[in-house]
Amino acid sequence: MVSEQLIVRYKARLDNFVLDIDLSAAAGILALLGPSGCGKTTTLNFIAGLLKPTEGLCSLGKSIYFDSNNNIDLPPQKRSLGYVFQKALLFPHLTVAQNIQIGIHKKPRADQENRLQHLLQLLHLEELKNRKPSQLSGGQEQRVALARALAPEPRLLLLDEPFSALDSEARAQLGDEVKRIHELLNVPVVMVTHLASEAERLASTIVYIENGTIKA
Amino acid sequence: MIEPWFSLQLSLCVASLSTIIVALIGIFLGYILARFDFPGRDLLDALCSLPLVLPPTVVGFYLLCTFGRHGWLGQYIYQWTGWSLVFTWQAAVVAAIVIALPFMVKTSRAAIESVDRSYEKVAYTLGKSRIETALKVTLPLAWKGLVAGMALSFARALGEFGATIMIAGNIPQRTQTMPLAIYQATQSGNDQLAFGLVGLLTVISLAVLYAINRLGAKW
Repeated sequence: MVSEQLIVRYKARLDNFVLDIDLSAAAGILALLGPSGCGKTTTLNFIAGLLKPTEGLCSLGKSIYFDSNNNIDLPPQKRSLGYVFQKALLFPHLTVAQNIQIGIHKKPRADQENRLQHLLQLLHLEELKNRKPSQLSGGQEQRVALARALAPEPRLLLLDEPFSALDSEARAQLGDEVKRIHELLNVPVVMVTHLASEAERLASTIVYIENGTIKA
Repeated sequence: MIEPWFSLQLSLCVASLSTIIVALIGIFLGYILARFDFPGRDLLDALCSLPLVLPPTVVGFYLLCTFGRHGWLGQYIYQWTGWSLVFTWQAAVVAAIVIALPFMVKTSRAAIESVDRSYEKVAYTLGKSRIETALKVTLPLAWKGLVAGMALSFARALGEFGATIMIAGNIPQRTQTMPLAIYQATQSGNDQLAFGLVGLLTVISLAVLYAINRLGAKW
């Protein structure tokens, strides 16, 4: 698989500042680093299509997600991105397996089942597949969230400080997990973090954001 | 003549049928009110709550104006089918629907609003459409509130009197529901029968509500 280039160029007026982002990246793990409230998460939400910027352009490879000049704004459903949020946000009424299944769109039943097994194996979740989210630890929850985000075979994985609620050991473990999956599936990753050490350990490219703009 | 078993059966049928219909309409309206911002939303909300504050007889009067043989809708129904809703058991269902709807809309709106929108965003990023997300994520997470709304609607429909007597009348063995039978038994001085009917209705209402609450507690 040839990795595609991600282009993000945005202007958006937020409550207290103007967000002005211009970045492009290919392959690898891109870390958006900066203090909290600087516009990192907002940038992820723009890429995912959960928020609409005032003007700008966002594209991945040949697909244009957003282009204010041509009135293009693809809904999040059509962007085929995996998004792991700061909180795991597992659907509390579904089991681990059902949480992952909800994102698998393969048609024949057997393929669906294979994909589920594959993801359960990939993130070492076989033992937990029948548990409800309330019966999982924080680290386990984030692993399920990661498996669920990978279920629709996304072209890009967005991670919004998914380790922030974990202790340092679980944090390091899950970080390694992300790196392993990135290399295994060759899926580009954009991750948000406020920890320089984490960005340096995991990312191939680091972008510093401060007060809504990129600092060199 | 009062037929206790017929009235009981009719009441339960009317209440069940109207609860099913109220649940469908009420959840739909509750979802729209909770998740969409559109001009006239407050008006729609007020309109949905209106039967709650109007005397049921007023609602019954409006229903007569609508569905009566010369009503603005009823005249066409009569022209096309030769059938009129007034003084039928179906009229009791319509009355119960309109009277119980506010309870369902209010509770389902509150229940849906209490569901964290982040779950819906997750579902969108997983490729789920708005309708799929509503059916697989939002409504299951609001389930407890929806069941409570159904229990309230059922209870309100079972006790419906004012609008029912206006549009369905009080015809023994045709439209005489339990509350109407109790009214008639009391009016004709048959206290013993009234006592029996009241006791029966109380026990059955209690049993049904208990069962519905158990259904909600399972989640």
